[in-house]
Amino acid sequence: MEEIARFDIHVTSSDTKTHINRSFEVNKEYSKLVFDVSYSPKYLEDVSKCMQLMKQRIKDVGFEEDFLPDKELAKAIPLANHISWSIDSPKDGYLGTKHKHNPHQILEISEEKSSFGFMPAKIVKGTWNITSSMNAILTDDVDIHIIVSGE
Amino acid sequence: MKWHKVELHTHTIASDGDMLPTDLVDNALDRKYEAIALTDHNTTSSVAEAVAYGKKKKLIVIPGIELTTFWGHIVVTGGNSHIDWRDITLDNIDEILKGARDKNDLVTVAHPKRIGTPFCSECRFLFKLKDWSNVTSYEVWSHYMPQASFESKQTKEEWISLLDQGYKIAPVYGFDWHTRDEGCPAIAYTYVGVVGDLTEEKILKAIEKSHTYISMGIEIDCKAVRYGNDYNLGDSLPSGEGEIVISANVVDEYAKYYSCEIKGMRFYKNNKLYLARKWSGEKISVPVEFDKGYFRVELYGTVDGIDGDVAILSPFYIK
Repeated sequence: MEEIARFDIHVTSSDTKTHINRSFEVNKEYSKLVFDVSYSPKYLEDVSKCMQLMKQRIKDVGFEEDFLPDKELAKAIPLANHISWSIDSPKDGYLGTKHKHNPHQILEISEEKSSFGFMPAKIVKGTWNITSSMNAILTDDVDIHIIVSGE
Repeated sequence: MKWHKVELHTHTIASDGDMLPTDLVDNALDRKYEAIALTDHNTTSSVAEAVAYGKKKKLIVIPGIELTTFWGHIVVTGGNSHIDWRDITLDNIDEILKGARDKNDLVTVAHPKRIGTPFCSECRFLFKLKDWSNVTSYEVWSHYMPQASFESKQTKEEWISLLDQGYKIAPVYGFDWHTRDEGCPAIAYTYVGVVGDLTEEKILKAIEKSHTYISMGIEIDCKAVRYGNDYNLGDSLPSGEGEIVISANVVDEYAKYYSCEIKGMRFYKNNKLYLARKWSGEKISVPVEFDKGYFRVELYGTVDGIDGDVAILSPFYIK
């Protein structure tokens, strides 16, 4: 496998609900592109901050205060960051999104078969794109790493 | 019109479910669904395989997607519009939904009053739609024990307020099915009414026309009669004297797993309670002076010891 691109992205909780695009050039017709994507931390471990976020949300949405007692809320801790990944091909456009909760994933695109969540696509020369979507960033900081390789 | 059990909100391994597309079809047949919509989060990559396998196993699989945005989730069903969820913003949502409707896809607001972030990444509907006429259907119920949740209380209030504003929006139940054994057997169903053989096109049309009801194991036959003509749920009829004829029964198969008791029914003329009747088990006929607006029926009772609504029916619309 040949490494094609590598991206290190730092985000904060204020980046929640944003998309971050990274483009890269593919100069050969590989049989497969492999995206090694990860982020850390996955969880907000601070118990008091978790409780504060949950209680604030319960209040904001107008659920009764006894919707979930503290004992039940504690079961939801740690709360989790969630980032999803979308890929665009220069030929076929939007190929799909990986909406899984695992913070480390290997995503593969090829003409024969792509990873679940993506349509198969020929690896053509040109400008490709990967989008990191900040579905929920609850911790103060998150580091994202993307390594794109061709095979 | 015949009523069919469907589940319009399902996931596979293509998003955060754990079922292969073929497993989803097999498991849907086990659950006695007559049709499903496959609505993975922001991807349709499993759809072709599920549809093909559904044809082989004689289960209708409707192509769909759950647009899982930063401000809420929207199920688009029919497979005609190809929306990139990254393009959706708070400002262009009406235009996006209109685009889906222009292509004859259904637009369903999914679990709109779920609590959302930080419990799940924005699964509460935070969009402020300018025009709800692009919404065909609304998950008045979602997931487990819908008769008793805070969520259902809020969804029902919003759905009724939309009816009060003159929108015709079908009530649906979305189990939001992710894993094989989750909530098995199904606790609630969406029923769609069609004439003749069940097809994908007829299901989509039935929902568009509000020929639906949602229930917890109860099959219902309800019609409005006016000038000697029968009208189905979701139909429009002229105002004036008429009657509602309704019968209901708990499905035997459901009663094997859940204790369900119908206690009574409530009839609403627009948003005002018109009549409440205890349930006798018999078909009943209720004389009604139909006023302009809508007339709707709901059943209340108990499922597994928890009281609440056990069926909510699409309204009749009065011209």
